[in-house]
Amino acid sequence: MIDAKNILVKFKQRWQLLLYLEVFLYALGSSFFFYFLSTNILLTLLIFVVIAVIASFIIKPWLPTIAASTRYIDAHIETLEHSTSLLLQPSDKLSSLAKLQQQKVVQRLSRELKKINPPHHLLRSSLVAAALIISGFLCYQLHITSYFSTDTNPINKKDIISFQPTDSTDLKAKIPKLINQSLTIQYPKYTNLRNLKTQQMDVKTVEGSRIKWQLEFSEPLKTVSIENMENSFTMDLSDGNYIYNLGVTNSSFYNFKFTDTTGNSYFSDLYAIEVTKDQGPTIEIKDIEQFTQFEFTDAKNVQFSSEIRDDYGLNEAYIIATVSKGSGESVKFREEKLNFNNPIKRGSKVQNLLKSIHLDSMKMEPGDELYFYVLASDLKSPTPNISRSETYFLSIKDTTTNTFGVEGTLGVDRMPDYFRSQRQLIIDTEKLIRQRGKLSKKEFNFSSNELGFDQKALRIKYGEFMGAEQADEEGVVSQENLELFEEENKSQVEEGDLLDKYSHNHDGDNEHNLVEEKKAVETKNPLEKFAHSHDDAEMATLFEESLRSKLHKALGEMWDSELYLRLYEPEKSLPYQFRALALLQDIKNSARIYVHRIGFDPPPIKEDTRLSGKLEDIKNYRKIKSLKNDIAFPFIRNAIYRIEQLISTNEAITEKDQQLFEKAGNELAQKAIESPGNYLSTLQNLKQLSENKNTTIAVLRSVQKGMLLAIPSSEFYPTKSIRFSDQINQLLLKELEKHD
Amino acid sequence: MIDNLSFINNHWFWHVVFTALFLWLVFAWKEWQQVNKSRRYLKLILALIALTSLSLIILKPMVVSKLDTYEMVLLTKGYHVEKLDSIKNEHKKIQVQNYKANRSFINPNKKPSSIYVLGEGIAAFDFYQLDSLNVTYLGRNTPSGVVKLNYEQKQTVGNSIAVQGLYTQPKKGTKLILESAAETSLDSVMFPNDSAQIFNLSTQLNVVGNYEYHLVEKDSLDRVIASNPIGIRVVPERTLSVFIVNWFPTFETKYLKNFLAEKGHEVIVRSQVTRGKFKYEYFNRSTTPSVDFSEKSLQNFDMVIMDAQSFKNLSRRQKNNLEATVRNEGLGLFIQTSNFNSSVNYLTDFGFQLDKNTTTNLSNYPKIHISKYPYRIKPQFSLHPIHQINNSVQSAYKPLGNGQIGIAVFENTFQLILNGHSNVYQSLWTEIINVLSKKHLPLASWNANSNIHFKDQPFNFSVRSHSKNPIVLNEHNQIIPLINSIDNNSLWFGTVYPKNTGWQQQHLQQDSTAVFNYYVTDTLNWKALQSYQTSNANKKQFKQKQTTGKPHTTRQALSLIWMYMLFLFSISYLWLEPKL
Repeated sequence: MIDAKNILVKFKQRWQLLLYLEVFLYALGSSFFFYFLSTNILLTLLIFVVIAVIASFIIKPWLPTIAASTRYIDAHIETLEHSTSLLLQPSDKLSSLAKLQQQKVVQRLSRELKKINPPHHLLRSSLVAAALIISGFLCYQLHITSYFSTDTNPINKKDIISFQPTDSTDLKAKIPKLINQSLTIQYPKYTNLRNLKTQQMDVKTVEGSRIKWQLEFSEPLKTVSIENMENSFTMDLSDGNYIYNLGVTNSSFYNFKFTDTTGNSYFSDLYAIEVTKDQGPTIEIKDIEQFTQFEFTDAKNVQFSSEIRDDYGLNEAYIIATVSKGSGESVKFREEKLNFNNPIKRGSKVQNLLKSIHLDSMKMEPGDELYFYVLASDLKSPTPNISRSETYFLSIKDTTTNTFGVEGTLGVDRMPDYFRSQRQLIIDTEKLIRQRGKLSKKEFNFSSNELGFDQKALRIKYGEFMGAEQADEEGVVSQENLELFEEENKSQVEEGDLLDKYSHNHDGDNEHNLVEEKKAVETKNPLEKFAHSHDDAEMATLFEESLRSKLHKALGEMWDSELYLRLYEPEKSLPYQFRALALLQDIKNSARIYVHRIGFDPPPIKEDTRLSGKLEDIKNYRKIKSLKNDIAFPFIRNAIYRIEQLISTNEAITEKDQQLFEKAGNELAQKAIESPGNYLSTLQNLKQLSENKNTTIAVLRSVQKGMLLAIPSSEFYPTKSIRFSDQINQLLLKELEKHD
Repeated sequence: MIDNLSFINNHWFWHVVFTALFLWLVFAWKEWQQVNKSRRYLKLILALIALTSLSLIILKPMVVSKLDTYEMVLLTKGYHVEKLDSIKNEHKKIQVQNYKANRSFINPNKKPSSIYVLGEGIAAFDFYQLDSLNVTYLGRNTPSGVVKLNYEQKQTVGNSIAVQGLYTQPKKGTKLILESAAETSLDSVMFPNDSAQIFNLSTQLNVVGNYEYHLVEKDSLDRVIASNPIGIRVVPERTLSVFIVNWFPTFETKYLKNFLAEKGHEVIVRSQVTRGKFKYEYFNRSTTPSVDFSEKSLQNFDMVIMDAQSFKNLSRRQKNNLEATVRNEGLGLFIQTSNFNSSVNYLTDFGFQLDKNTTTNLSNYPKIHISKYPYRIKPQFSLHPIHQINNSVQSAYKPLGNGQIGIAVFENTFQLILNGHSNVYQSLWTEIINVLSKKHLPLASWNANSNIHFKDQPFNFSVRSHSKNPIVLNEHNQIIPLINSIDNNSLWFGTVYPKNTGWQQQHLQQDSTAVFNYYVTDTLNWKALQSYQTSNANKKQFKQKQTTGKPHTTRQALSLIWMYMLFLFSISYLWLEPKL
């Protein structure tokens, strides 16, 4: 029997639970809805409790008792024959027939009860709750609340515009009352910001916004105007509201002024319009070093991400990459615009963009460099803000060139500190020839060898013009010349220092390597001889070919000249030297054209006047400049002193003073735009002084103090000093001079 | 004895004597007629007595009489009761009197033999009352507060002003604050202990006008102890016209010209580009007049800055022109020298001495080094140092006629700007230029011996004027009488008694632009300073004891009752004798 009763109790509990759940769902749904509207947790909790209590009283989840349950079960399960209540009775008090029926019912009940559920509206309540939550969420997302909130919220007392009569002596008339005030900021479209309606008259907005003022007064007025700096705009009357629209581009201050029908005018406090500029996008490049270098054998892939942020939304972003080939004067550039792997979402505020660059696909060769930076622009119209990132470098190590080589144990660059010009060499050689008889053979040979070394140094220097490969292979121990180098080192050790008497240490060390160089040149680019790259302007053969051949020729001549000098036959070397000189002159002249092509445009030089030392055409030069800053803030300065006078003499403010204060106010407004916090109260007081003659010394002092802060200060000013001069001074000066 | 006798009606003396004699002679003649000779001589004698006494009644004789001597102690503000008590102990009968300014405190008929002055002393304008009296000034302790104050009342806008002074007996934690007219705190100093301290407050002056700044004393809890006004007058700047001549362009000149031009001065720079060709730079002025070293063109400048090489290359004529302009017009000349011989001549002689230091500093900025050449300027009789550290003269000038020629051993001062010390650079060159540049010659020069004057107290000023008979008028166009100096006929002295506080002004009638502004404050302010000054003045005044040695005497009219008695007696005898 107890089991049967338990079944009924459980059924009752289930019923109650379902009803409580219903209550909970209603409370939950409505509290969520309220939360989305108000975003106030405390209120939301309160609403939850209130709704729960109300719903509980309506639904009454405590109502289902065991008796009610039995009635319900009896009503819904016919097979129980309205006998469920028997189960609740103690069996010993029942008649035997009743006991029989009880037994029967117990069995049936346990079987049938699973088929029915307690009555509930759980579906309805969950639907209601879901509907409330969803609609609340939508309202929240769509800012629907903001449309109602301003109207429902009372105006903050602080924000009410207070008007003061300009002439405080005439207070007979009742001041017309301001009933309603509102200010709507219409942000530029691209910002995606919704219009903001507020009662606060101090505005903070984005450049390019439109502001709409709406004022409603208790009485009809003559005129209502907005005074913005020096301008005054009359507000239009429509439907009892005074309305004015203004597009703002700069920070400024404004106040309202109205004239009532009796001709009295009133003015308000000063309010600030603070305009923030739309900031350009910020670009941050991650996962890459500023300078990355690859070996030729590397995979040569780079991947990086860049985070681009903008305050109101991005428009586009891409990579500008520049590939540079070659070095020195023969450098060539190729610029490409690359897109990121994933396309940019227009209007998003933050974007994380990935890019992988394959240097091979950029057609880069060893020695080439790639510079790239990211360029991003925002949605600002009409002219978007564009910003660019820092430049990043990618380069492939050149396999063939090296700026200096490590030769044996010698870790230094063996380039000589100075070298003689070909002309000097000729002069020295001629001098040497003249001195042939006078010098000892040893000395003569030594000098000749020296000249040979200088000739070599010059040749190497000019070799650089042929391209780095010629200049530098000198000391390089590359794969090709490694064996030779080792061999030579050996032989040198064996040879001893036979040449020491005639040469410097730095000379001759690598003589044989020089022989190898031609081979290196030839192996460098075997196709060069056969290919003309017409499509590349820098590679055009028009000048290049003749230059190169000329230089080759000159180097050849130098070779021969050096040979004879080393053989102590300077006479024979001279003709080669002259030919080399002539060729070099030629090359220099053509080089000028080459330089011109690169972009530097030297002024034309008249050959006949050049280096003549004549100064006739050199003119005196005159420069006129005015650095005198117009005295900063002249009216503020005057106003400061005028206030000092007003305070010390206790005079009344005159019309003239008011004009002065107004002008000073305009000057201060410029300063206040830069830092409104410092000067706003001073500016308001100045405005009052310029409108209203009644004031207190405290106000005057605070205005004076504020204006003093605005004036730039200077510590030193050289000036004329004053000296009174009369006969006695003159006599004294004369006496002093006499005794000097 | 006869010296001691005199008559009040001295002017009637002879009339009375002759009348009396005549009357007596008439009487004698009348008596001679009478027969009774027995008493003739008695009568004559009695008549003489009667007439003499009558005459004396008319003439009112006076005799010199010694006065009663007494001692007096004069109590002035801030006296010590202990001192008074000990004086009273010493001199039992001493008379005590309180001093009130501008009131007579000595009875001219009963002058004290000696006076002891206690407290801060009597006001200087009351000194006359104690003339020829024996005064002992016992003084007082130094009061607590600002007792010395020094500042330049008139300053050009854009400069800074320094207010210096001495504060005695401060309480620990007392603060002295310089406040602007708008009651902004500008500079302050705190006294860490109670010993007297020299203070130096400064601020920048940015706005032209006459202002009342305050020196506020606050205790450690920021309660105001005293707020004393100081008058500060900020005058508009006077722009200079400077001509810089360089043999070749230098950085030194570049920065100097920028400094001057940015301050709004007119600057012309002429630097040689190549032989005979120049680069002219005109700042804040038109290209006229030309700059050709003629006397006429040089007159347009207040100062010429020139390197030694350019000076050397001037023609004789140009040098003469330059010298004449310096001498007559007061042009300032500064030579940028790099030639440090023991004697060089730039219109006047300068000398240099070796000095191994290659850096120096300014006294105001002791921590900032300025590079210099290893020389110093040799002191000479007429050499006036501008910058001097430990007897080593770094910059100086010599007057030549009305003008002055300056020189310096500083090197590459522009590095100060590059090192971020542009204030030091500006200070250095401002001092040099202020001293050297052509002086503004006013029509009248006013002078007062202090910056603070008190209401209703005499304020002495002097004025120097070219006018032969200057007339000084106050704000209400009332004439202030002047006294001419005996030694200097262009110097005049005057005294006024200001009636109002604040800024006051007076001017010359001959020239209303020659205005003198002076600041007047109430006597309630600057108490410590006033007390200290009064005390010092008293000390100075009563330094020597004025012991005259002579007893104090006075001439007193003799009582005439005896004369009347004599006259009555003798005349009654003469009247009764014939009847008896």
